[in-house]
Amino acid sequence: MATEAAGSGNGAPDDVLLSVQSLTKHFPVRGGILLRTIAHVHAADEVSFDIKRGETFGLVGESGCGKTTVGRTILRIYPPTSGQILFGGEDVSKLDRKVLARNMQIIFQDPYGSLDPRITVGGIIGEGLEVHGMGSPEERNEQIREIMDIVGISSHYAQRYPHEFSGGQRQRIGIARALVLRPQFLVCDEPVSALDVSIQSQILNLLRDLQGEFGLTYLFIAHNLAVVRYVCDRVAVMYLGKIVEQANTPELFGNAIHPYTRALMDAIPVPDPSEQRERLIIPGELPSPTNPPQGCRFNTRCAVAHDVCFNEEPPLRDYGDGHLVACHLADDFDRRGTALPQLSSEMHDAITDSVQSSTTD
Amino acid sequence: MSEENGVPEPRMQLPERVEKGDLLLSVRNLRTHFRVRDGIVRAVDGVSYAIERGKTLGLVGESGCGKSVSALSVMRLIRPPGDIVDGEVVWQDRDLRQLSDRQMRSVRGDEISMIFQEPMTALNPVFNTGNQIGEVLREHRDFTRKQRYERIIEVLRLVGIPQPEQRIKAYPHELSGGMRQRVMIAMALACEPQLLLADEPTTALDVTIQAQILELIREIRARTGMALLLITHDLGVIAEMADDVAVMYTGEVVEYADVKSLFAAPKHPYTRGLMTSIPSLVTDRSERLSTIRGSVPHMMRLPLGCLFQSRCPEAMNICRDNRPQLQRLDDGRTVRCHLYPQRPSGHDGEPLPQARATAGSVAS
Repeated sequence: MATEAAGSGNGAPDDVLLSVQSLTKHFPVRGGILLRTIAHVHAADEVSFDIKRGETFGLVGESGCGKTTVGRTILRIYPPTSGQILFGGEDVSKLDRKVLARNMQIIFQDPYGSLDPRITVGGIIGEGLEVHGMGSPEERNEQIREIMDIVGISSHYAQRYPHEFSGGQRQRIGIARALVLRPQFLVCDEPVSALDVSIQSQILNLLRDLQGEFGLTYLFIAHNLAVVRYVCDRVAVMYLGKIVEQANTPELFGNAIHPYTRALMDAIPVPDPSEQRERLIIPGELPSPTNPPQGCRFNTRCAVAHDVCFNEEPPLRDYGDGHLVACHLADDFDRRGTALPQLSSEMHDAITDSVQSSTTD
Repeated sequence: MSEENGVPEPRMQLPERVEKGDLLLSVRNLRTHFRVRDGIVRAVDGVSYAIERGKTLGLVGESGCGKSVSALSVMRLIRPPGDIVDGEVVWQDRDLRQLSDRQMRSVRGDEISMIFQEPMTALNPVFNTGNQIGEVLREHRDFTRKQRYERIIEVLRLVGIPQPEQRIKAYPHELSGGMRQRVMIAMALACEPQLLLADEPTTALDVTIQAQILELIREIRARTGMALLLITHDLGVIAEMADDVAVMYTGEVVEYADVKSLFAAPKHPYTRGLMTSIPSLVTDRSERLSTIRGSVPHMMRLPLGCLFQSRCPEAMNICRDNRPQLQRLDDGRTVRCHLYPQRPSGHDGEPLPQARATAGSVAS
């Protein structure tokens, strides 16, 4: 929103606020009598991207693709397995936790579960100020009132408890809590997906206003592509722990290359009953992230997978203007909106069967 | 709440075309209330809708609008403190409310089936797939063991579950979300119902799986001629699946029309607000999203007049104290809003000429 030429990839290094470099996060799976580690969930594998000051960077994908893991690892909620995260050029893992918390905050999906029911709203919002020893109690109250007014909750309600508020108001409280320390960077993890449709647009507008007012930089994690398209300047699409495509928003939505990105876009129901579309429905389900497929991770569901896709993992390559794609066949796709070939029924069955063998463990 | 205003509900609450259709299910003036400590929650308050044979009716609305409760009322699955206090549920010339529990059990799962949003909680965790589907068949069909087994395999195949001979032994926790939803659909379809009530069937699923399940429901609908009541908050799903749409707000139908007319020209300010506030793949990114201000009123503190008045950009004086009635517009659809002047009572057919002129100018 704030940055204009989001696609120009080679900005000066100092306009990058956050740099994620080869981030890998594996979670151990324990089993057996001795609870030894028997496998690893590959939640994020070699994920890299830069977020520029003032921009909104989107991470999209379906459940289990690793988008939330990336967000939480950035905030040091989880330690990374390997790779590093630079914030303003400094390694996040070496920063003091309090310094980190003053600079980076998070808004959670669930406005019901993420607020402590036993603390007043003013207490929830002000907790950060107290922990960081900022100001006198009067000054803190003044700051709480100010931020409540900014997010659109009357400051008269500071002494009330979370259960007295609706979902949309609670999400506003969550945003106030995150902003009270005046961070530069905010991870928004599915901030509107738990809200009723008439409330979602209120919160999206609020996030946009706050970005303008405070010069915030957002990492916006969501599964709803229409919301991501509206909010984000650049978007990365994740599948099974990997970024499969990344581009600025108009380029990604006008000119998606990766078969998975195209299928995701095709899958969104269009609120227009007069539109009859040919859509590609991808078969099968997400394979288990403990044992991702060899080669390209999307090969079990891809309509156009070739031999090479089952043997070699495709690298993420730049196809111009920072449009990155990880697909062996990217060169073969006419870049200007050619439809993918339709699946033959035998191929459909073959793929479904192969997915079955890989999803059952 | 017509009794409070002293105005009887108009007889015709359905769009003209629907009323004249071959009706399979007709819900008339349904009222389902919940008696709670602080008073009465009128979750469904005077709702009428009808489904034609082989057609799909979409029920849209936000949480708490009564769309799920209305479907549960059709199935007579309302438990205390809830109670169906008024109305009829006419299913092929029978009022389901008048049936004995035993008669109702023979309708449920056989003639009418229901699927739910969360398949993990709707399936019994201690029974495997075959047992769950077999239970429906044992209840409604005099099959031998072998016939039952064959039918289970058949419906599992119908809903696109690969290797049904193995999957018949799988327990719910061994299946993914999409597969569980398929098993629940298989259960619902085991007896080839004429009507399927689907309550947010894809809301808990990822988009690529949602696309698969919607395609599956479409296929089965085309193959069996089954009618569908589809409950969702997703207007995109409605646009792709429904023939007619009833929009609900705080326990009432506020607009009811065929899907094309509704999306081409929504009449009720709430419907318009819903349609413009959701970002789509063609929303102008440089503009602010339009919003519906405020939030749904508390069900125990509903205003006297129009229930949408506190959020309505077009609220007028009359909206404050007068609850608008559902009325039919000239194109046959119905809407509950004072923007569309009420016709004189007793005139169910042709409107008065001046009434038509006013309605036309407001609607444009």
